[in-house]
Amino acid sequence: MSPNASISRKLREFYDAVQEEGIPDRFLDLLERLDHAERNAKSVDAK
Amino acid sequence: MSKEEDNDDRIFKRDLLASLPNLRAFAVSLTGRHDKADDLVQDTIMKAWANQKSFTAGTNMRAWLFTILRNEFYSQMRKRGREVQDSDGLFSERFSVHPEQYGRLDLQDFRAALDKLPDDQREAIVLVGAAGFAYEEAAEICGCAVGTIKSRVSRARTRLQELLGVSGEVDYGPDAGDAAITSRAFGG
Repeated sequence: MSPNASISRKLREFYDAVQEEGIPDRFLDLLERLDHAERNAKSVDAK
Repeated sequence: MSKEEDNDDRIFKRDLLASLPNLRAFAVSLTGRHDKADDLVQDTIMKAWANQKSFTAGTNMRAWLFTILRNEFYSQMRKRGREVQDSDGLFSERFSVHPEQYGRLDLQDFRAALDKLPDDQREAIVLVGAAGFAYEEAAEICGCAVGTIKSRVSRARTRLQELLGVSGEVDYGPDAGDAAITSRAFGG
């Protein structure tokens, strides 16, 4: 393997390892809260 | 709210969620640590949500999110007076505290090397070599010319090879010539 290929592979391994950790719950909670806040605001607007 | 708006919201949220693991890996690459990376991702989600209207449906949401995260990273870094940039002191601190957090042992050396790159080289090689962006997209995210991204990626590769001791001469003996040609080809 050429040095460049070896560097590229390690970079992807490192990056993929983080991606494979998935999405932490705090972000799912945050999106839920944002979604709720927006829905409430819109239903108030509609009245 | 109209049905169409409701649908747009759902698509926006779905695409945002789908981009999160990649976005988070980019944040970890930039900051070098998970806790800071997750704070950065959180700020990015808030910003993206608040600016939903400025996102044009059907365009590249991933590039849009990466741009927001990157801008947020640099603006926070400026506010903190280059704290994040400080290389060796901070670096050894972060890696000595929770080594287990940093995953596989054989990747720790790589992470350490990546961390030593200048910010502009690090982001360039990560965007192109791992996050899956074309040179043109990376240039847009970083607000610079395509040629600039190419030369940063090339310098990042060379520097990583030096830091990790990966070199044609040492590791590849008789094939050293090939390695030299490869590095010249990327040297431009």
